[in-house]
Amino acid sequence: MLLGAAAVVAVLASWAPSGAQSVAGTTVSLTMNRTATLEITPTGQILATSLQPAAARTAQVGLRNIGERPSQVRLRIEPVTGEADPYLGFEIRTDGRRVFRGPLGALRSWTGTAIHLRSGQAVRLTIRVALLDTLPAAAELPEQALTIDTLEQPWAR
Amino acid sequence: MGALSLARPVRAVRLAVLRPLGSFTLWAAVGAAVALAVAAAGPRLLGWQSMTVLTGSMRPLLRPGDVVVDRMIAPASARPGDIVTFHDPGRGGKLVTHRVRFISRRGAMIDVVTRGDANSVGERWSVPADGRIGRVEYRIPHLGYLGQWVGTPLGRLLAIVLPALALAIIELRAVWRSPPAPDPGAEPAAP
Repeated sequence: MLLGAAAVVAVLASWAPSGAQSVAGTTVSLTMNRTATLEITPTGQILATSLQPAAARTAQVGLRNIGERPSQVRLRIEPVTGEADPYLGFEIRTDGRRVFRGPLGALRSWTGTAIHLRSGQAVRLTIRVALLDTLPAAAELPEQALTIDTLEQPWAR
Repeated sequence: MGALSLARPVRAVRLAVLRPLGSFTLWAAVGAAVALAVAAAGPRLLGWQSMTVLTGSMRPLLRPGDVVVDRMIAPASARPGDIVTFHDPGRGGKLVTHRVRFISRRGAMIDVVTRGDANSVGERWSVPADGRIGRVEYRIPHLGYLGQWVGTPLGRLLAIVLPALALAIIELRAVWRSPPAPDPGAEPAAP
């Protein structure tokens, strides 16, 4: 009787579900749309990629001031949920100058550094997004569809 | 005459081997059945819960008909990779058992993203941080089918009648086979 019970216990122990099925990582897409005074090239989706922890991808877009006056441009991303705030890292540069570097949560506010554009001037924006290795083991961050908003203000030179 | 004398030792050997073997098998089966019953229903005494898997969303790990046994835990104790049972608001509050993909805290709430291993789409749900969810500790394949069958009138009848019948047969055989008690008043047999 004990042998039968022991056999059942041994079999049940071998049937304990494993926790290693989950693959860590996420899928990120970045979108940036043109405005009345700012031409974005390419416009719409500029990046769609899967990311593993500590991995990064880069997207490049062209920004051109199509308004008649000089303007300063600031950027932000406002995701609907805050789950990715501490886990996605961003670095935004324009022609070698850093505009922003930090986690997604810090990019919910407009960037402190502005991109200054004279009328007709174009710059290349490099956006680097990384999945930080602070993501808990085996966590699968839900897909992030992020839109980069732009704030254009007159620039008094 | 010779065949008869040979048959007796063979029968005796068979009985000597088969009877303990049969008894051993029977008791091992009883032990296994008791252990299975305890594994499936016993955890309820600890406040755990057991339930039958109804869909294939967690295939190949969990199949329809399997019984899963859940330990009740605080939602914040769940980790990505754990398999948890929760009330899914997207399915009218039905109990669902899926794997945790992501978990985060939002004030007094715990936000959880889960997805069945066989599903391509997950579900998001929230639970108060002081609430409880079930975490699958082990599973018992196919036992749910047995449970369903026992739930039917025929199953219920057989589940009671068959073991009772088996017990009765065992007891009757023991009574018939036991040697008659010596009659204290009887004369000893002449040599």
